[in-house]
Amino acid sequence: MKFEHNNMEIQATASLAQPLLEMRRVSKRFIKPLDAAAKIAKLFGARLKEETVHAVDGVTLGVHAGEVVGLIGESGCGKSTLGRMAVGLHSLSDGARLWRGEDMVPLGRQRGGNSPIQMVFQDPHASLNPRLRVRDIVGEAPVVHGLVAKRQQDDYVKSLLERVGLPQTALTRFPHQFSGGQRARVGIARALAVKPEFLVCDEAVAALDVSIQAQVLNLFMALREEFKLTYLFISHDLGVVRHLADRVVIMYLGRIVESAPTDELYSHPNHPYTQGLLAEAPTLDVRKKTFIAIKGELPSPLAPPSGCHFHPRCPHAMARCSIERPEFREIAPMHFSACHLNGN
Amino acid sequence: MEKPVLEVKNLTTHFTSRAGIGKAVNGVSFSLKAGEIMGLVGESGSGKSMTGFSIMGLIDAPGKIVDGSVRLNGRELVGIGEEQMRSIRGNKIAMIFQDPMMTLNPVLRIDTQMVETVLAHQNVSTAMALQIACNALRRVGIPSAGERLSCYPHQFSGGMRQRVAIAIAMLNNPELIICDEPTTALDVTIQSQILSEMQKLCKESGTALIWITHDLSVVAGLADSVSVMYAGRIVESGTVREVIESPRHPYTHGLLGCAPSRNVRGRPMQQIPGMTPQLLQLPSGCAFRDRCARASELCRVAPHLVHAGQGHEYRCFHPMENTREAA
Amino acid sequence: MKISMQFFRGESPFARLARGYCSSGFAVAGLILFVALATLALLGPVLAPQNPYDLAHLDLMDSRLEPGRLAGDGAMHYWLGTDEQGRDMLSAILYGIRISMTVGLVSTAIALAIGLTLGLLAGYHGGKVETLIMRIADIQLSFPPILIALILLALSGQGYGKIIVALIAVQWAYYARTARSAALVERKKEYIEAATLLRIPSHRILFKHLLPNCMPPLIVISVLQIASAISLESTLSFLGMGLPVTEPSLGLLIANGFQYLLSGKYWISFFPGVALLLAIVSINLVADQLRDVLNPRLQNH
Repeated sequence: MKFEHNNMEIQATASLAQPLLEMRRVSKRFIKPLDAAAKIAKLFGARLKEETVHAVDGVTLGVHAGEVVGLIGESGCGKSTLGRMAVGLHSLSDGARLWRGEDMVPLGRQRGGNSPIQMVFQDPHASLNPRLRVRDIVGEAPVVHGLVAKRQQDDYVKSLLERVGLPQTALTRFPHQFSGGQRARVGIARALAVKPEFLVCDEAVAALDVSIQAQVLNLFMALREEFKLTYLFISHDLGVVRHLADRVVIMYLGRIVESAPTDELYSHPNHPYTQGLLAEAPTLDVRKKTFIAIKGELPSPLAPPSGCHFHPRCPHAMARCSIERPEFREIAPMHFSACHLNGN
Repeated sequence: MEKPVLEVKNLTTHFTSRAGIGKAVNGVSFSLKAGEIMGLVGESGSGKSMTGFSIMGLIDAPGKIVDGSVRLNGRELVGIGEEQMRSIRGNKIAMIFQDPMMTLNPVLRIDTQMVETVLAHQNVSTAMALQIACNALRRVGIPSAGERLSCYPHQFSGGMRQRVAIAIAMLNNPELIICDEPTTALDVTIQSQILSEMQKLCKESGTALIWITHDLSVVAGLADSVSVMYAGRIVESGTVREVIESPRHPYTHGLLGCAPSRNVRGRPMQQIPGMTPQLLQLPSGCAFRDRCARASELCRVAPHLVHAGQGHEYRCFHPMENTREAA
Repeated sequence: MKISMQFFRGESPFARLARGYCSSGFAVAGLILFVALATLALLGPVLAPQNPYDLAHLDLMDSRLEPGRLAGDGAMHYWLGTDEQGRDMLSAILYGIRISMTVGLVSTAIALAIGLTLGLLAGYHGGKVETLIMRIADIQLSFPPILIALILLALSGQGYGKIIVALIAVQWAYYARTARSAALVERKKEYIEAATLLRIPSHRILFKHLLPNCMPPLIVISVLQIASAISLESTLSFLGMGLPVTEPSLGLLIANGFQYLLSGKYWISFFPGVALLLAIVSINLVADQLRDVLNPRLQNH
């Protein structure tokens, strides 16, 4: 399914088969409207503009069935927003969200019981309703949607708990009675309860201890096998994504800057930002490190730099970089990067 | 033999509640020389933060330091009373927290807070204090330090705030800084910047550093020595090279094995089964034995400290093989 | 900054609340007092030696007797004296507490229900719904409560039901505002996002997820408001705009005896006043402790 025109982004995702989920040139802008006082001031000539945050800016991302795509970026890059757009929690300012090639109906207007896309959240504290017992946290949605009869709720939840490695006694307990790792498992059970095909994991292991993180990552891998799931795994942790993902996508300030199969990305990073990230990540190498930092800080998404967003911090920036947005091009098989250094 | 800046011997902090006594810190001992960076590594519930707070004297009821000694340059800190401790905190020992807003007052300007810290411990004029503050901000790499002094904390980004917190910690040239997970909440790039700043600062000023973290990889690049804590006890300690390249305690070994970089892509990761035991329900003897594949009847007794040479110590009856010897 | 730790894990939220509540002696005392008064209120007609509003039982000859005096016909002791109609003060107070508390509790409960619903709707949906509800609440809150109550009662006339309506009209806005603030905070939390994503219907999210988590500040306010309602009602009755003479609350009793205060017959105002004081103090003690217990716990999962 190749496209005639130079639309590399679409080509990048529509290679072999149709992706399960496709975000096609999506953008999300958060606009803070002027309140009444500001509107009046504006009438009198004050130079006030509405504040617009370009959280996601023209992103195209496709995930194929059975794939694990790792989405890496730092705070403020828009990866969480993109994740929420993928599941439908945020509406799209531009672009389209396609499921098996067809436009997806927005969350509020969906009918029917199954939600094929679910999310596993980051914060094990805030993502579970502190007033509900586990049986209701996990069992409410399937019962409400008719997947499971009310009288079978407990049995159904127990089977899910077993699958995620929690004891049966967890059924009647409240979230505060569990540790962080156990709460993460409850969150996974809740997502699995409605029989999804696609899971977006938004920093799902970031808040966990290393040893628990390993357990939960193994759980993700096992569940993927068992339930034939597809993942969009959002993280800032390069090591975790390297272990889990088939393909890795790097985001910076609302845009995708590089995308490649995992091994390729980690061995031959192309974009200067990716190179910087990989160089900076602490490793268990005991030779005393001089930490090579990417200088500067993430610019404010209210006023992103012109042209290539990364140019103020890029060690290889040229004049062109501040004027023209680099094209997201294929530079090696299935390896895409948006950088002027790759030629015109 | 150089005299240590900090000497902690058998520090024990208990938390009493109706449900029992929680031994948050259970006989912790270590020492630090001037300019040395020590990583104190452990997961949640290991007691690493409580150790830091105990040294600073920040433990309040129902917690209490019930035993042990903490000597700063020979001076005993346990039990000296709040008045004296206050003159030491921020002056001889400083602390940096995970959330910089625990150091920074959101309603005061940065210069106000910094000048306050300086004047509390040094006998200088306000103008001099302001100068010291400005220099400190410059040292931690905050651009246009002079202007930024008059800003409020909310006008800084997260990484910048943490740098300001570090600057405040360095104001009175402390002999020891305790950092409690200061970069855990920050991005890799910012963490990198802060780690490089800390390395530089310690080298320049000869300040000793205790870096409390759960991330062994940060410690690997930064620290000279490392102590691994589990359930309130130090289970292994030694130089960073020794401990990371040749861990003897099964917990350390397991922890290292959990790191994604030590695992093969696509295959299940090595994991430590089970969870950290609750402090109120610690098993007798070695607290790790319920999760340890090498545990035996012997482990029902608390293991003693074994010295493995070159400062490498551990507490285990069934240590892992010494891979460095073999190599 | 001082550090302490939380150790208790294996209990339900209610048990945790109860334990926290009982940690203060004053709070327990306040609760006991409140329960005692409520019991007296409930059993008023049974306990009272006399029905003070049944004219057949009154003896005008026994009017304005000091506490402790025997009745003219020797049938009973007037433990707290009598008023100018010959009513036994003890009985009058028992009936009075009953009415005051009922009015306070009923008006608070209904105002809570209305305010909570409107506040949650405003907080959850935002937009025009929120603006409409909150502006009405703001307008109302800018008037002094007693003024609104007086105006309403002047328009509608006096009566048991009418006073309750007036008290509801005065109170609902507090609950709405608080509920809305709590809803705004909770709405952003991930468990609400999860519920939305699981496509649980809006009304269910509102009442099963949002509401229980917004309750703590509302519980505190509503308990305090009971006292406030009783107090407001007493003021209105004292001014003569409240309950009619046939169903006197403590406020009316105080008003009745007011003229005799300076002439030495203190008991006609004094004892109802003490009863009112005890009721309000006990409620405040309970609310105080609830506030301390409910707030930090919520951040302490």
